[in-house]
Amino acid sequence: MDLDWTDSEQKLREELRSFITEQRRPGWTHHERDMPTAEDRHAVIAFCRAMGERQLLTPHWPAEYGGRDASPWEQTIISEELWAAGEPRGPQYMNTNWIGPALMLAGTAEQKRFHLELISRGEAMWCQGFSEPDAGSDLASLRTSAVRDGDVYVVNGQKIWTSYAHAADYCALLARTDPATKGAEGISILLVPMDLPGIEVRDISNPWVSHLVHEMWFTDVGVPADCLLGEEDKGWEIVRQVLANERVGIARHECSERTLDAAVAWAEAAGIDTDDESVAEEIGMAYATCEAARALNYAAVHERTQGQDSRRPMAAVSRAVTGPMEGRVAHACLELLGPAGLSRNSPADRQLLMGTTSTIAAGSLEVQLNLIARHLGLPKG
Amino acid sequence: MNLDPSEEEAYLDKAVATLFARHGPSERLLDELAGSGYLDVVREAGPMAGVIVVERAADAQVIGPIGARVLTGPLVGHYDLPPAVGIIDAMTGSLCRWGPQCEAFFVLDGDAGRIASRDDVEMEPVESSFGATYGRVHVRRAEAICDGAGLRRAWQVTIAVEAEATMLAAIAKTVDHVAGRRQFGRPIGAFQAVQHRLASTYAMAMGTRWLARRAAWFHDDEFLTASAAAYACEAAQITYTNMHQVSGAVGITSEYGLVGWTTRLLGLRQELGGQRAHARRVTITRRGMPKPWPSPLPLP
Repeated sequence: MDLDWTDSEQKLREELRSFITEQRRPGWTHHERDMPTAEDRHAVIAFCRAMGERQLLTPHWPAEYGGRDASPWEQTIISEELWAAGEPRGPQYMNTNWIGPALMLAGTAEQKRFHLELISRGEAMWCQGFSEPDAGSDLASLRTSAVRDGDVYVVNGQKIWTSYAHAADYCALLARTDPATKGAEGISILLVPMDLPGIEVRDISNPWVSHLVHEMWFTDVGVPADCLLGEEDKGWEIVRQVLANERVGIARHECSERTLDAAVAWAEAAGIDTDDESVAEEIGMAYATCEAARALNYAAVHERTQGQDSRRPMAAVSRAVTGPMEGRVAHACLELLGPAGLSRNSPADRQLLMGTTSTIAAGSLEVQLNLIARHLGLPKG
Repeated sequence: MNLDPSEEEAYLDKAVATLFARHGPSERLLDELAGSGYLDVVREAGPMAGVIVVERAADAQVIGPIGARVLTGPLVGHYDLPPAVGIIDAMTGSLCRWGPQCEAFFVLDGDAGRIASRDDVEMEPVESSFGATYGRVHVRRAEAICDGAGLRRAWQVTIAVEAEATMLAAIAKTVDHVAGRRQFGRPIGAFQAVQHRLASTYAMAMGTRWLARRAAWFHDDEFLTASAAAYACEAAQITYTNMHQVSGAVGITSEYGLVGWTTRLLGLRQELGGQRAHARRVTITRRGMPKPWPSPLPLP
């Protein structure tokens, strides 16, 4: 075993920290990550272009697609540093971690040429049209339809809980192309331009931020047939493979740890007694859980370096610790800050939102536990 | 970073596993380990080799002290040791796991790390149900060998490594049980309530494993070593509770064997001040660290 970062990996981390300090819009924090204003979107595009120019956006991509075949460890470092700096890339982590790889896996030559170049230059934003009102954890029960009519697919249906839909240029949309099927059969992926007529996006309000998640309605939307990714009716296999990338795509441990640092700084500035033993114990356990999540994330990344098999038990194990970790950090911040934690900009506020959603989004905690149970060899119910 | 064992580590793992399988949890094992040179693997092959031996020993429910001799001592650069070594955190009145069997003792004495021979201590055996022999130790004389912080870090690592392997062994035993035990017409392991207890406990045990290994590798980093010990303590208690709950009454019997692991977990939780002390140490260490990185949130 060798648990050290290489010199070049350490150098990349330092380069990223300098780059973020120079290029991140002054005052940028996690509160702007959802891009509630047009100015925020411009800031994200400018930041991503700068990353693209320095080949920092997609270094882990193959050289033939504009990357330099960097290791998943470099991708991990990029994820740690960017996510923990308030994610000034906005939704780009999604593009680079799984939409790009999905295009490489199944895209036509023209799709690859057009989309991969846009993504690697940092000039396109994507959202993912997956969940529906009646298809959440049971995603394969989705009902949004795409009916082939000449040169277009006519799409009708509703998507929900979609991040970044208000700012996205494209949507990776899951739709049922064979109405006679149920479950994973008969589902296709369409690469939908978001400016097509018939697409409506609405913000779903919550107590924390605007434009966190959205509803999308597709009403007789004519999506050009050449927007189909891979074979018709065979989209689920692509999803199955790329979702494993999504599951280890975000370095939540690093962000939570720095949020705790911020909470301690807030507390000290507010004259709160951080030497209190019970508070120090709660904060200490939260830090320790961040480190357990980090160690498991690294184990999951290592598993990923061992092959392309999408059955990666450590991805589920990692998420089963990482999700609850975010909630624990939020509650530790609240306990530490007391009433000061209730203000909108406090470290506790945003962390609570993340801690509440991370055991739900992208495969719920219960789904991860089911996957682990299969890995342990427990009998199916 | 490469988390696969090296060829040497893989060979060592196989060799000690074979040795433990052959001898079972017997007191003779310590002599076998000493004779084979496995107690000194850290000197030749580094800390991860020590981790492998301690993990295998915990998995096999070895009756006798392994961790302090194989890992704690070598991590503070102290190798000249008899086979059976214990560790205590005060000169007077500290309870020592495996104490009655030990020929030497590491002593965390405030800012100093010391070693005392069996002749330099008084030993008062203490009856215990917690999976090991225990003795209360009063040290008359001990030689300083390292700074106390170094010994504390090494002990934190050892607690975490012993705990993770003990947890995973208890979980493996329990998975076998629930897969075969039938109630209401099907294996109890097919019920999601049972599955989720096992799965969430397994995730915490694996979290402890990889955190403990990182702590062993970076054993001079007290933020990591204290984190590993703190998280191990929490996971140990959850493992105890969940494994007994899904095992039912058979779980508490000596014959079945689960208690050989679970009671030891609770014993490990008591060492070096326990979970709360480790957690406070995490916070203290983190506050003293430089933080040369951008923040995700506004700072005051």
